[in-house]
Amino acid sequence: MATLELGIDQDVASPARRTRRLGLLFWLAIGWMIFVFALAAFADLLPLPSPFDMDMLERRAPMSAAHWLGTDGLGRDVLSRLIHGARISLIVGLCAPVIGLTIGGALGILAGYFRGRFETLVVGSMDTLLAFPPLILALAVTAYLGQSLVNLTAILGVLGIPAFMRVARATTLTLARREFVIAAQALGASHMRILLRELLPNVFLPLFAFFLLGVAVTIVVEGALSFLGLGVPPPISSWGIMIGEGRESLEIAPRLAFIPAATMFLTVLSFNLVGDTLRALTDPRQGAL
Amino acid sequence: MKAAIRSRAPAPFFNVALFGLALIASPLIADPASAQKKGGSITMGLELDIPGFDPLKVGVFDTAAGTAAAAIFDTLTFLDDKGVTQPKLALSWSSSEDFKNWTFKLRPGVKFHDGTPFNAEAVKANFDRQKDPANKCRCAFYIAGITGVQAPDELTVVYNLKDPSVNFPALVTIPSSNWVMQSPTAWKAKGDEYSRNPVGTGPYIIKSWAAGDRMVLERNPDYWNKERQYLDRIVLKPLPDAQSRFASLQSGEADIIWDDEYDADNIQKAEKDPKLKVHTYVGSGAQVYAFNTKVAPFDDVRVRQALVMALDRKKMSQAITNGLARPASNPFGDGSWVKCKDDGALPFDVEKAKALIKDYGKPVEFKTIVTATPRGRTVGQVLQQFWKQVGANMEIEQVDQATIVPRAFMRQFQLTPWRIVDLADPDAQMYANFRTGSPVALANYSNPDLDALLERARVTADPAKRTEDYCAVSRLVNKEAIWFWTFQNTYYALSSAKLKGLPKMYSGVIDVSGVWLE
Repeated sequence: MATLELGIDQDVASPARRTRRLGLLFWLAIGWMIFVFALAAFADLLPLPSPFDMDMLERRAPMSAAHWLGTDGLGRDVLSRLIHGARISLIVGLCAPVIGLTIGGALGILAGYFRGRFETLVVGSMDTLLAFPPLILALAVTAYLGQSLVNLTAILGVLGIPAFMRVARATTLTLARREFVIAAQALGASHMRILLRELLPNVFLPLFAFFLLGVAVTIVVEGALSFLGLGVPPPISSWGIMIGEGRESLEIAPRLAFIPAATMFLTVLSFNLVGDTLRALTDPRQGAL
Repeated sequence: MKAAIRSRAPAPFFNVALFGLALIASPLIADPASAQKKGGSITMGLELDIPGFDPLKVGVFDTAAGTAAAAIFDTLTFLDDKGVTQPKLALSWSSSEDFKNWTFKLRPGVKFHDGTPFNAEAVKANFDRQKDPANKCRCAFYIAGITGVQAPDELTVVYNLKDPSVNFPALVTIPSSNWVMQSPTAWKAKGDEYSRNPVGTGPYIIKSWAAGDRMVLERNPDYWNKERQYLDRIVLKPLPDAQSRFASLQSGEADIIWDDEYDADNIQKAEKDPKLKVHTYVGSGAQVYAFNTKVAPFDDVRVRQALVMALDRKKMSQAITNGLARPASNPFGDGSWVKCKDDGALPFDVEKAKALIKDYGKPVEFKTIVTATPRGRTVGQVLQQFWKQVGANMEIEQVDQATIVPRAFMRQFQLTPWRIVDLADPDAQMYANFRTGSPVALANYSNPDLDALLERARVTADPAKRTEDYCAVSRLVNKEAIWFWTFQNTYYALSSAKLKGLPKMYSGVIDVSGVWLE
């Protein structure tokens, strides 16, 4: 249609000048993330003891040259389990939000662009999913399909879809009425072209900022599920599993629970900081485009 | 000839399939020499919440329910601290010459809490209700070896057994759903409500019971044995978390708590604390594992032997229980009267195990069931580690405790944990666990020699000959490695040092009905 509704977004005309300074904290967070990623990625190349080998007579050994962070309740090297655990926590923490990002993002853009019945259906089904108790879903899936990395990632991914859908839809709703979209429509661009070339690049940035926050939440949720014994099956370690196992000897060797907890805290904090900074930079309501 | 028997002589009994379910305990033996003080109240921390007491509803009592049952109900007999059967609701007993009919003379003048007289009819009604196929009681399985109960007069009860049982009076000492005497008028009058409002003849009566919070038991003013009632009140609280249970004992909120060797840190702490006392009892039986010998790779004896030889039980005990758990080399244990000079246990030998696996030729990969609990995961990982060292690859399959039993009965496993519980006689469980065709013969293994030994041992009266047969069974099972035993059954209770008179924890039941406070 060629009806131009130019009078709608008057405030667009005043894009606020933003400072591009990101601050020391941001770079520290990026540094920690790179550090953790590097350790997790190159865990096999590092001169670490096996995370599974037990020295049953050397339980809860203190820190030493052989075991930099000591040994856990079954005599396994804590540092090695921490680094190998980072893999699980990061794999789940990154892959699950990717599922949410892809499916939820696509649904959100489509719903925000096409509106009508499709939007009602998508929003309705997402509300249904939100209303379902997440822990029950996790319990049901692990009980039925068994515990594995894939199942765990899939559950957490599906649970993340509604949130991503909402962010994508809200952003699309505001963008779909903007001049550049209307201009594209007026030039006779196809829906596909408008979605991919006009909307997606603009929706992606806020969605990516939300993704980073999602990573942080997912790492915590994975930890909680592992703590409850619903995570990856033993002997694989993840931070949540380590905290759960450490709880057993909290009074005798509190570090067994606190070291993985602190690592998880720092990592989640980093993702939150970076995510928050990016979100502030790309918030569409600021009209900074 | 009728012989009054009060020995721990072994004898065949009924088939019992057990996974930490059935119980034995001995009530109250107080040393008359020490000065027992009357009055006061105690609070006990239990591992689990009690579901109820109606056998038709709950089937069998766990150890938590056993503690309450020992206070609310009485059994016909009890085991004293020397393991000798003593009279309780029954005054005396005798058997027919073939040990297939047992006659009990009951204590006169005993009344249930609701005033119903306790008599032979009541004993018969308890039995018939559980045995009646229409009631579909899960408890009926454990009395399958008894064909019927007669009540020839007011105070005489006769049990008719399928197979001879020299030791029958010792076996009815358990405060389990099968052997506690419940009031027939009460269960008829209360119907569905009965399970949570049980009526027995015991020293304590339920005053109030809030599910998940506490059960308050008050002294029964009309008890037949007032001398052994010391406390005015017993409060039972479910405290499932081991740390908080121990904390409540330390703070004085609880006077006694249930515990087990997996909570070794706290047990060792209590040992050092002069204000606390550690009660422990080594029972018969063991914590065991069964191979399913019908599925690969366990259809090959070399694989089974290799896995058993790979286990260093001492190290394992160190890793999971700070060394408290006692390694087991046979299914009988230190608490049993069966003592073997040679039980045929396979040695711990990593090299031999590796050689056997190599000899087998194919990769050894399998799944082991563990309970989905921190304890289950710990034990699973330790086993996994031992077997990895000899080249066997084990995967841990975590399942809910309640699903282990049906899966075992349907043989849906490769390797499953099980338990041989503490009973006064090995026959019930040995026959059920290893006789060809038994539903609990989990290994799916059949051997005519083994069957013959089991058949003979259950009908022999001479303990020495029976011991020989059972040791031969142990040698055969160890050699074929169809089951293996990890640790013996050891039971723990931690209490304040002021609490006295706790009897031996037969089958893990902590019976506080006869304790007193100093």
